[in-house]
Amino acid sequence: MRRFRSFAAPYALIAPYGLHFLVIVAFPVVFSLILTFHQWNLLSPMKWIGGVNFLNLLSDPLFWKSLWNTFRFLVIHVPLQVGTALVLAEILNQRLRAKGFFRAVFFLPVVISGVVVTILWKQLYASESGIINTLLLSLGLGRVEWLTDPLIAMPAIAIMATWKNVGLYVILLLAGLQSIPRQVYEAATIDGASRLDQFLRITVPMLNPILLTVVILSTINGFSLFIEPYVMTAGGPLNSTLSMNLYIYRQAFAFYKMGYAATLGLVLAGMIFAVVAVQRRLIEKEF
Amino acid sequence: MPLCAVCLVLAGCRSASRVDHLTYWCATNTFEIEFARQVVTEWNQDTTHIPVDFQPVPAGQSSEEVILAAIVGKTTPDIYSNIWPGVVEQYREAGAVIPLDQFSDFDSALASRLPPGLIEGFRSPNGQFYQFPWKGNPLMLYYNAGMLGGSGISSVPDTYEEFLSLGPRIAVDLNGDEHPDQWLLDPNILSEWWQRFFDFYTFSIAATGGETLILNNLPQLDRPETFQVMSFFRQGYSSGYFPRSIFQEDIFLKGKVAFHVSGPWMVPYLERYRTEDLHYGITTLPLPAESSEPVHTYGDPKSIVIFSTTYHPKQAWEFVKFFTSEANDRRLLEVTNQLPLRRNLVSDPYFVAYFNEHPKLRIFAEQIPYIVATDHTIYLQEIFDIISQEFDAACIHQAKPLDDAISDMQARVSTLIERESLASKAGRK
Repeated sequence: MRRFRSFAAPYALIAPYGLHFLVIVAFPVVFSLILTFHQWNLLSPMKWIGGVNFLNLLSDPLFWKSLWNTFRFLVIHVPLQVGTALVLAEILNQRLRAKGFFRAVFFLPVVISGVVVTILWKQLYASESGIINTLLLSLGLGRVEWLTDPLIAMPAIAIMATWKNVGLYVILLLAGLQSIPRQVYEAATIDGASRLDQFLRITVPMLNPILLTVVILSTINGFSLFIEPYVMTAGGPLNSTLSMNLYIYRQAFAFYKMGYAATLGLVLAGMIFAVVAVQRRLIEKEF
Repeated sequence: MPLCAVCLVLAGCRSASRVDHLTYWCATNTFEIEFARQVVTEWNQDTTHIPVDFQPVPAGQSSEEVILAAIVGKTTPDIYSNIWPGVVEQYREAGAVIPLDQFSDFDSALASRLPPGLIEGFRSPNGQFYQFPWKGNPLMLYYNAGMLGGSGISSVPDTYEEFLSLGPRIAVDLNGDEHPDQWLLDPNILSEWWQRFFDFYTFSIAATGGETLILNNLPQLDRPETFQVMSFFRQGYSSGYFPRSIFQEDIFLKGKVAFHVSGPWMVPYLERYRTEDLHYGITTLPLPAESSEPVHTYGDPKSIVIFSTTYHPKQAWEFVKFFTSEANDRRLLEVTNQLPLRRNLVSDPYFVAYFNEHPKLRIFAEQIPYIVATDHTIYLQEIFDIISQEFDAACIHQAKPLDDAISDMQARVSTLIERESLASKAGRK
């Protein structure tokens, strides 16, 4: 009996996690893979259609458009997010009054619901009555069609997403900055290094592990772009803000094409994996 | 083991409870809940009737989504009263709803209720009826009488040409920033598929004299009327008469737009919130050319269905007939200000008093015989998504020539129907 207990105890202890993994992780992943080879609208029985979903995907212009839009968003959003976070963290790392207050202020948008933030920014961006355009007009500048101009809508969403999430990365980078020993900067100052040299040659390399985390998290967040275009633009104008996630959502829950949505999801997962792998290699090599 | 026993007992209870009563889901708005409460109370007072329990459709992003989840989970009610005909075909194909023409008095009930021209619009492509038409919300043109009068316009336009000719007088810059501060018409520019029911589809129905978009599984989008409708919107946007903006306020209520397309639900809203200087009227949609024929429009109808999970199809059908009786149709008007789909609604003495008290709603009631529903296809949402994309490109942003947009629309919808049909056939094999 004692032998049985000592044999069974470890399995009993990992059983809750094992169950959680099987139900919440493994089952959806395997089911999604199965779905990619089926046509299923939730209502009727699943129909095996082989590789038709993958063939359709290759000839679907909206898939390519949504892929392009997602990368366009990433190219604007990730550098903007990481750069802004780095600058703000560096400022907060100085001897500053009311540092705690500013930390809280930067972090506040992170804890506010994404939908609330998006609705708020939709009002700010409103071309006729929004505060931003009212301000621009009062300065004698022209009106900007923030959400209805196909060239501007995605950058406008990227700015909003940066505002929403930057606080989290500021906190992460600040923790990294505070772990760099002061003596390194003092030695560099004695050697005559300027502030910029110190930032580029000491701060950035020594922040490498945190920076890598921030870039990867920011990229994964960028790939999951959904709420902002869903609430603000519905993917328009001219599908210029149709992200991969929004497209997957539409296929699944507007058109009930579960098989095709699963195929798109699989491609997106592969894409995230590939981009993060490349980023990791580049950042580790660079610094 | 005890858990299994509890589940079995609960399942048994559920089955037993469904055996001796009907469940009915109504829409979630306050007025319809009150209407449902009154109807169900009266039904239940008659002890010869099977009792009905009612509740608003459970919370969800849309009622269609909730019904879909209920169908998948086999937890549908016996009766649901607010179904959009555009999704009935999907439910029919899944075997989730029962044909109502199996009941011997269905044809007479339908014929005595509906204006004759509307009946076929609710028939499924397989020839049967799976829904009982209940109410309709004809889309019509609201106009700001004060703004038109102030601009020297004495009559509402009947044709696209007349309509657009009002643009220079209405869409003007009032504050000197070289940007119009009021507009002629305010269609919603968001490219969600369902938005096109309120501009492209409604105007297409009017222009074609009541035609829908699909005939014998083939799209009819490359017809001259599509060109006329899209040309109208393209001209409106390119001239700046229609705003290419997303507004955070109701610009009709604020007196910033001369015309607005909406249904009867807007009348009580305007009566409640309008300022004293907002005087409005309601008229039919403009047409490509003068016509003496009645103007058709999209009716945004809602129907009643009986789900196949019911144990009591006959009693459920009896309830549906009671629910749509003349007395309850008048109750629907009085409690909700919504229009029952009923023949001679305006001239029937039983309803005259109501319309004398609500003259604005009489205009919508007069439009009821000329409403059109939707095509019966399981691809309706996707078809409208394609239309929305081409409309966005050609009309709102003028990024594509009209002819190209229309031929692409026709080709893409044809491909969609063909491809999905082939995939379905492949699946069946």
